[in-house]
Formats: sequence, C-alpha cells, structure tokens
Amino acid sequence: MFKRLKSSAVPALIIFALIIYAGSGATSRGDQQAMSLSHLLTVRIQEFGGGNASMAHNLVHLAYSRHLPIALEYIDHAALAGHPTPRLRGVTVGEALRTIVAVCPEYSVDVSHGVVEIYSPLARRDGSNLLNTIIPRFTLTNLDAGVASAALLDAVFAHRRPGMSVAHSVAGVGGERLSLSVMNMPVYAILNKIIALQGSSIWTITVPPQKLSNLKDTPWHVYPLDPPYESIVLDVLGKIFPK
Amino acid sequence: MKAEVSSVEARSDLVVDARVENEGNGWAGSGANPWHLDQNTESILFLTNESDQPARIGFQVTTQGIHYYLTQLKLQPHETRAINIRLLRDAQLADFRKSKIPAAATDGSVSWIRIDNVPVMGRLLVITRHAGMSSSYDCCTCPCPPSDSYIEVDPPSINLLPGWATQLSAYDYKVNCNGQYFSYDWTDGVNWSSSNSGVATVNSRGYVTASTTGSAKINASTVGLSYTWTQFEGCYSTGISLQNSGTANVQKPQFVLLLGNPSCSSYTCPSGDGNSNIEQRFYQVLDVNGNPIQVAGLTIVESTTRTADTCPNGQLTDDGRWTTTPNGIMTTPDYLWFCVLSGASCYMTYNQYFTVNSYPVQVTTGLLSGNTGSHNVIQFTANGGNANCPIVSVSP
Repeated sequence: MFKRLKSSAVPALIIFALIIYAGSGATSRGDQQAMSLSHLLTVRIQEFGGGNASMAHNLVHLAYSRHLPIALEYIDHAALAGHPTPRLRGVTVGEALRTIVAVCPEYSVDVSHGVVEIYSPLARRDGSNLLNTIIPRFTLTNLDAGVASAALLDAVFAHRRPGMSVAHSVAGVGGERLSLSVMNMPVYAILNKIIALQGSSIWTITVPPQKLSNLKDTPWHVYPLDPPYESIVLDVLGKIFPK
Repeated sequence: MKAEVSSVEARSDLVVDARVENEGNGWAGSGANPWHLDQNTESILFLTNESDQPARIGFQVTTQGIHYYLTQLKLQPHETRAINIRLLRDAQLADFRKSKIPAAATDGSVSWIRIDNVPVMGRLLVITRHAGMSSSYDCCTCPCPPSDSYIEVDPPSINLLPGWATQLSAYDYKVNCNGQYFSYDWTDGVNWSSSNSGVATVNSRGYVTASTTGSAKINASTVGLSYTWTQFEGCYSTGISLQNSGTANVQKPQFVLLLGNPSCSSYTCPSGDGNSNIEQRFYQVLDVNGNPIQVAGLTIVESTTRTADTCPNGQLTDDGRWTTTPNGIMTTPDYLWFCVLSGASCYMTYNQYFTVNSYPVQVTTGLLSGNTGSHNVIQFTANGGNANCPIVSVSP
C-alpha cells in the first residue's frame, strides 16, 4: 500500500512543493501585509453609513478612507444601485465590512489573504468566468502592479486564446514593485496576491457579470489607494451598467 | 508662578489646592507652561470660563521648534475643559498650518490666552504617577486681552479649474503684552471680496467659485481691536483696519507635455509569447499659455483608436486613468508594450488621445521647440516574436 501511495502521490507532492516554494519568495512580505490588514480591521470607526450610498460605493469609500487593499471581484447591478449600509457607530473596520456585505446575501467577504476580498461564491463556481481560469504558471519580476495586472491578462489571453497579439498602454499603480511566481492558481487569486503584495491598491471588476466570460473587454483594473483615485474607481464602477 | 501643590494624600491621590492670583487678583488671563510626557507622567491643561459669556481661547503647543495651534477653541459659559497633551500629540491631527506635534515629543510648553475680555482660569497639571508628584502652573501677566495684529488668508494662493470651488480661511494673529502670537480662525468674522468676480467669486464665508480663466485677488478685511493699558485709564481698545488677500488662479487644461526622454527596457511576455520592451512616459498638464497647472488630483484619461494592425488576433488594452501630483504631473507613468506569439512578425498602430478632467487636450513634446498635435501616434513592431520599443510621434 505504501508503495502504491508513494508512486501516485509523488507528482502531486512535487507540484505542491513547487507551489509552496514558488510562493515562498513573497511569503514574508505577504505575511507582513496580512498582519497590517488585520491591524487595520481592528481600528474603530466613529460613524459610517446611514445614507443612501450603495453597497459598492460604501465598500470603495471604506477602502479609501481606511487604506484597505481590496478586491471587488464581482459587481452586479444591485450592488451599485442599492443595498445601503445602516448607520454604524463605534464598530471596527472589520465589523463594518461584514455589515456592508451582509445586506447582500449573494456576496461574501474574506480577509484571510492580506486583502479584503469581496466576491460571489456562486461566480467562483462558474467555469466560464475568466477570473476562475487556472493559470498553469505565472511569473513576474520587479514589475509595477498595473503592469503585473496587464501581464496577467496576457497570460489569460495566452491560455484561453493562444496566438493573440496584445498591445498595452497601462497606467502604473506605483508603490512597491512586485516579484511573484505561482503555479496552477486561478486568476482572481493571483490578482488578490498582487494586491496583497503591493499593499496599497484596489482591483475591481470593470464589466458586468454576464461579460465575465468574454475576452473582448478588459475585465478588471488595478488602481492606487491614493484619495484622488476614489472618484476614478467610482466612475469606472458607474460605467459597468450604462444607463 | 502663583500656585502650589498643597498635599499628596497617603493613597497618592493627587490633591491640588493652588491659589490663583494675578496683578488684579480678579481674573487669570494667560499661561505659558512647560509640559512633560513619559511612561509615568501626564500633562493636562484645565481651562475654566468663569463668565456668563462664551470665551474664545488662543492655544498653542511649542515643542522642537514647532508651533501647533488650536484655532477654534471656545469655552461655553462656566465650562471647564481638560486638554490632555498626550491625546493631542497622539491624535496626530494637523493644524491650519499643517503642523503636528511630533509623535515622539516628550517636552515642550503650552500657551493659552483668552481672546475675549472675560475671566478665564487655566492650570496645567504635570502629574507624575506612582511618585505622587505634580506640578501645577498658572500665570497671568497681561492686564488686557491680546491685540489683533494681522490677518492671514489660507491658502495664500489656489489653482482652480473653471467651475471648481474651494474654501479659503482667514486667521487672526493676536499678540499679547509679552509679544507672544496666537492665531484664531476668523473666517466667518471678516468681509470677503474678489478683485475680479468675472474670474472668481467669493461668498461671505470665504467660499470661492471659479468661473473663467484668469486671476483674481480674494480679499479678507475687517476692523480689529488694539489694546492699551495705562495705570490711570486701565485697559482700553482702539479699532485698527486689518486686510490681506489670497490669489485664485483659474486655468483650463490645454496640453499634456511629455517629460524627459521616455525610458525603454526589456520585458518578458507570458509563456508562449516572445519578448518585448516596455516604455514609461510621464506627462504634465499645461494651460493655454504653456504654464503647468499645479493641482494635485487632476484626472487624466486616455482613449485610443486602432489605425493599422497586421497581427493575427490583435488586441489593444488601453483604458489608462491617472491622477496628478501637486505639480500637475502624472503620479505614475503610462507603460507601453507589445506581446506577440513566438516567431510572429507584424505591427500595430494606434492613436492615443488624452482628456484632463474631461477637457480634450493636445499632446506636446515642447511648446517652443517640440511637436504639438491633437494626439500621439503609437506604432508597435515585432520581428520574429520580439517586439521593439514603441515608436511614438505627435500627430501633425
């Protein structure tokens, strides 16, 4: 039995070890960012919400006012048009996040990877969703997070539609340059890793759910968490569902 | 110093019984006292308004050569306010001059004056825990309230786009009999006016609205009081005219100027593709006269149209959005690169346009010696799977 187990487990163990090894270069910085995020989530907020702002607006505002690296992985019409947050007083940032998202049952929040992940569990199970594409191997060396995000899009193109030629004109995000090497990881997890490593940026989906399987549009963008970008992100979100 | 700690009781609870006295033995008017903070020491200023009227207080903390002001401190009738210097330091909130009490500061002085002619008593307690030691200071040497000295408009110069609005503030600098200055927010107490209301208007509370391009002086004026004390007449005041102004510059974005020589370096495309080169370009926003628009947070947006493409399955990702530094320069560069399938030889050309806060702008490499046009023409070329640095030219 041992022999059988050994022969079948070896390739899996090697792949597992490679994944662990590949990620190890970034581990210490990733851990630092996770610690920094967990600290940010314990800070108390005097007052938040209570207005008519939508769930998506409140998430973006909380991210920019509290400098939270955040991933808006899924945005539907309801998140942009409704689900206002009840008035909150004296809660922690983490509690505020959970309350903002709790009003919309199809969304979940996860803060365990050094980034606030706002996602739809249902969308994560959708095989046609670009963000669920498993990238066999993705390596970055000393790149701006904006370039890293576009490079990931290149990798999705290369995987889904081999033979494409892609020209880029991309706004940099600034801050820490990234080096990263991962294997067999879904796109959303790589993006989350980019944001977690960079530490002061947001990535957001820029297309509606029905276009998440469409390679014609650039489906996501990374922006710095510098205050002037808050209105840019809200503007981009506002264009997901043109009126 | 005219106060004393009368006793420390056995349980080390602090008992302060300081006699308050000054020249007139009637009211206390100001204080300038040393504070100290460490693990065992707290410094707390207590201010009590002993009158039936509100009392405005000038307040500053001085440490390490920095003067930190509270400019809106006002006590209600008979209110006692405790100002904990540690909390004030640790809050790290900037004052109107953007100054903060250094987070590591442990010693300094705290000064306060009453601005209105009402009795206010103040006492700084420097309390040493465990040892039960404390210092209690209050001093009061000026017989009159401080005199208005001059007013300052803050910020002294603002850059705006047409349609923008912003708040100006006016600060009254008061000087007491010891020559010590305090500032107090007087935005609502001065008269505001614009030298060129066609360019920018200002309302009675200092709120400036820009209309068209140009420059306008935003004036703040009022009549202040200067106090004099004589042995025979006591304290009396005379009115003095106070006036100062700020400048509102209203500019419209007209150009984005390419800064320096763009750098281009090698870039590795994802597996399956060839190699490439990545170029970084920074732009600065200029007005119609070629002057930089020195505004942080402008929004630069690019758009593109593909004009030629010989590459199979060509794709262009372009929706760059940038903000600007206080010098009107992109905070991050525009990165340009091209990835093609291994071994492919082809080219792609596209036009790149910019808007700044929704104003379409021209592209220039130098208004006097360079090229200026409505957009960039960008050409990417790949030979045998390797893409060159992009060739970027300004449209005629």
